[in-house]
Amino acid sequence: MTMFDIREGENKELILAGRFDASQVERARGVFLSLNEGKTVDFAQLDYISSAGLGVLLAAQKRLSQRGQSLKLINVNHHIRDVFRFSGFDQIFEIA
Amino acid sequence: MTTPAVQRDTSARSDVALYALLELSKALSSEFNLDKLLAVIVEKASAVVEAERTRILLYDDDEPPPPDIDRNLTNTGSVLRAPVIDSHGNVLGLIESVNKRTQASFDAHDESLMHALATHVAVAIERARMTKLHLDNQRYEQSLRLASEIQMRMLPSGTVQLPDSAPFAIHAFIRPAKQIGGDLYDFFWNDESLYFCIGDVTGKGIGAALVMAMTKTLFRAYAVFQYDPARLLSAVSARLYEETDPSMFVTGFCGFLNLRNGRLMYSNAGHEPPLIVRGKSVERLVSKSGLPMGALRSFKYVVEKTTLKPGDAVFLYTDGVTDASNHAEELYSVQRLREVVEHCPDSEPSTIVSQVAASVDRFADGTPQADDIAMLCVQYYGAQRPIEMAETFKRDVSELEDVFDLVNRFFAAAEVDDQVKYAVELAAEEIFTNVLRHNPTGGDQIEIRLRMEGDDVALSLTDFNAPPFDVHTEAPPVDVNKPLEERKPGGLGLFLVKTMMDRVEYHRENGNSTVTLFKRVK
Repeated sequence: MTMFDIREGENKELILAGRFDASQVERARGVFLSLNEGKTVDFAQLDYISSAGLGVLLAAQKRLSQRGQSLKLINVNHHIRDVFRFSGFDQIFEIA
Repeated sequence: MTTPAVQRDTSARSDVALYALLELSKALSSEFNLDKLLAVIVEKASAVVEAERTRILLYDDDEPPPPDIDRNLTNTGSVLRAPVIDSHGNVLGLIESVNKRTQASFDAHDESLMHALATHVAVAIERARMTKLHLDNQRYEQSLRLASEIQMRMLPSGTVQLPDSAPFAIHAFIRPAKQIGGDLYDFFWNDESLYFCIGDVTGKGIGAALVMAMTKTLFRAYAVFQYDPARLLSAVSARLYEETDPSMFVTGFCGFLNLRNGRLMYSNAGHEPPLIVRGKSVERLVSKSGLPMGALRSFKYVVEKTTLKPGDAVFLYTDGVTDASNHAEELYSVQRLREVVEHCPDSEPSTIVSQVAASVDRFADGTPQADDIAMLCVQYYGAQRPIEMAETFKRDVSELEDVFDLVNRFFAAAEVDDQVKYAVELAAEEIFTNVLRHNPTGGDQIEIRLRMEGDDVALSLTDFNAPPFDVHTEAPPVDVNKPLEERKPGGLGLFLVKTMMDRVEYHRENGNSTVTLFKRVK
């Protein structure tokens, strides 16, 4: 099982990897809440996300939207795309 | 006055001879190889009695000493001959020296030297022979150990690890009474069927072991393409008849189990009928036994059929089990065997085999057994083996990793596709973290159980001694179309679970809350 990881990529994008579950949210929360500008978040290496991970993304999106900024998600696999669709999050995030 | 001179002379001669005898004695005590020992004797003996040459003749099993052999020393003057007699009074051979070098003939002094010499030689030869026997025995033991290892490696390992989804389980056990034995078993399977057999070669020792090896090889060679148990036994029997000693027979039982429907076709060649275990009922499997294999050039065995229901087991054994004896020379018996199998806590092959082995050992209580022991047990689970896994978890989010591990193992065993797995993983996390939020102080562990229920994966979580919480009614509704500013993370988890899974059931009993989520397997 891949460990959860969050790091900055070469083009200043955020890279999420592994499993973004309830036991991993604290570290991610710190990173997302420190964002002061819009970001591209690369999901290519992310295998799994639950409501705990969605909650962190939601909080970050809300905060950024107050400054007219937003998160843009790329390379989202179809499992995670389903989760976004079922939760209506596909309407509040730009998924490329 | 010549006498003192002669005396001096005799005394000087005596010193030389005694010195030579001592030399010989030293040489003999350090030489354990019989051939080298004889060479030393021949060389040194001539020095002891001042002979031109000495020869030694040893008798053996092929050439025993004549019954009327002269057990006394003989002195013809030119030939001095002494029998070599061991500590048991057996004549091992003769030692003979010819032509005294220093005077006309051997005298009384030479006779006593020769007598002493023969005594030394007897001890040395006896010791060399015993050493050789001991070394031979050691080498034999070593060869036997090697043969035993080779023999055991011919059989598939009795402990078989199969995936949980396998439609059967199998376990085998073998213990030769001596290092090598005449019992055998074999099995192999493919998606369609499981083949298994057990056999017992009459007789013991190396002969039986060789026939065992041959029988095992024949069984495997024919079983690969001959799926009819009666024809298989006939083919093996014919080859054994052709290629072994007429006094060698092999009793055997073989079966082919259809893994899709539990149909068992079997055939018996003079072997103990196996036991068939159906729940708590243990019966001997009815079989019209044919002759042992190898008895006739051609023999037609009968195919018999039965159907194993899921959970049924067949237990094969050799008579070393039922004929195991104790100090009082009582036999273990089929009756005892049945009782032990009846009292097994389950019908898992490894349980039955280990319980019987332990019971036989308790019964025998260290009494050396005359016969080899072999057992083989097969349990049929049905083509759709009910897969169920459960584990308990502490009330801590760090347990999630283990929760996912359980889900992973279940899906590996159930071989269900990924789409379903993602939904079940998510559901497991969400209902687990939900319990942590709603009942954080509960003292008991939380059980998560996964099973196949028809075409559904069923995921249950039980919170023991917990306040009621019905996911159905109490999970707050979520409007997924609200704009970002109005979205809240609360309730999202259970909402997702209800969306992604097909059906939710809630059950409350004795203060325990169980929520079960179903997901149809496509």
